[in-house]
Amino acid sequence: MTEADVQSIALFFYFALLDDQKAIEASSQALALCRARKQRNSDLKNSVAIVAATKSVWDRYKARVARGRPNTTVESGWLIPEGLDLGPWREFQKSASEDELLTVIWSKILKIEDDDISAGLGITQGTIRYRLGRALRKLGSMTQGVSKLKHGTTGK
Amino acid sequence: MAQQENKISLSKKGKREISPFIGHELLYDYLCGGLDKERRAAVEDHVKFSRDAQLDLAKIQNGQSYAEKLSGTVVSQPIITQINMPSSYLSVLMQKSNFDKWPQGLKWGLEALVVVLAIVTLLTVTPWQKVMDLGSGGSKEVVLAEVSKTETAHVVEEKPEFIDEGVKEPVAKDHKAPTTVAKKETPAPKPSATTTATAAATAATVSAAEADNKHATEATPAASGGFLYRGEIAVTNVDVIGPKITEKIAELGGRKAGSVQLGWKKTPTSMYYHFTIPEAKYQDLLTFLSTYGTPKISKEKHPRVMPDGIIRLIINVDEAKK
Repeated sequence: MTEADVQSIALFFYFALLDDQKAIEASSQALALCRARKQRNSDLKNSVAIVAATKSVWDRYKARVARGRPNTTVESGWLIPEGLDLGPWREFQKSASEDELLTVIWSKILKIEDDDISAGLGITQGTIRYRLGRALRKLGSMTQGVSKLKHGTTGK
Repeated sequence: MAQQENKISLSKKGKREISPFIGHELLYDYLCGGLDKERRAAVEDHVKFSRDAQLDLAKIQNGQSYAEKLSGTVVSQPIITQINMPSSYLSVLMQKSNFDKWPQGLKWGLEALVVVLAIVTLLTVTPWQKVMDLGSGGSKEVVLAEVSKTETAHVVEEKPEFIDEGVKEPVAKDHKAPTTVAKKETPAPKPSATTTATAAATAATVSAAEADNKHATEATPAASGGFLYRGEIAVTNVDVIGPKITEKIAELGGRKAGSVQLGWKKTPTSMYYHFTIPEAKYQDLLTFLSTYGTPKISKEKHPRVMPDGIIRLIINVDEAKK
């Protein structure tokens, strides 16, 4: 596994859990799982292994994390692009379904191809695209909401 | 079959129309460029006439651009290193046991138990005897200093360092001893180096030389002036009180100074104590003796100089007269 892969796993859990410490713990476990999978099957693509491992570890962690109550600090070492507001994402992480949340992270944040995601999860590409469409619509509405609030218009 | 598949139901204007539902669901594919030409044209038509579709399209675009920005997040090197570190046995154990989920009270209790066990183990394993020996090393050194002045330690054991004034019977047997006692207890009238040298040179026997040498070592410090605490105390029932005094002297760090043991029964109604004791304990001893009677102790000049912090006492404990 390359450093970029480790970074992908870390980002996945950071955005999925919104908890600095738990993200590190979960990433560590997912990385170990990924390596184990690659060891068993060396032909397995890294991105497919990442999707499968992160999903597996997420299933273990999702019950432990109270979504909508982020536990992140600026000093913790996760460098968000300057000027970017995490508010819409927090709102999205709180209200989106699990499938939508994870699919957006894999596809749009980690830039994993749809066919790799579908291979990792064992579902069709159509399902992935469907989830993405719904998720992006939701995320977009949240960014618009924040933007309207920021610019003093409520859309009336 | 191929002809049947190509038969697509078209509208009166020859266009392939889609329902609003399908149009909405195809918006993401339309944005990604995943539709064929006909489908794309159909979705474009749908978006052109549907306000909802236009809004949805804008939302998807916003969502995509926002997610694009989020993908620029960077994980710092320390976190990458932390993730790459192999998990320790303890961390795995914590994860397996769901330690995070345990009640707070239970966690604290367990932690307290671990700390207590660690302390108990430490206290059990520590070699306290050695530690105590190290700690009391200073007081032993004082005793060693006293021994070193007599030059040989084993001689101290065999021959008493001080003369017991109260012991009469053993003295009577040895004809040389009385002269030695007399010399030691009586301060030399002229303690000069020449007289001691002459005495040593003319000594006929080895015992005589030893006696003279000892006399010399005692006589010389007389000029600087040592002290002897001499006294007596009358108590009721000396047979019972005597051992208690002996025990107390030992407890205070006292050691016998002469040849007889502490509390030597000089006569049936009198006990004799000749001993050394740390000066700091002198007051404690007086306080103790005061509980049984009125000690009369006087400080006398004596040629024998004791080490710093040590005093020598001769005390007679007599049966009180009724």
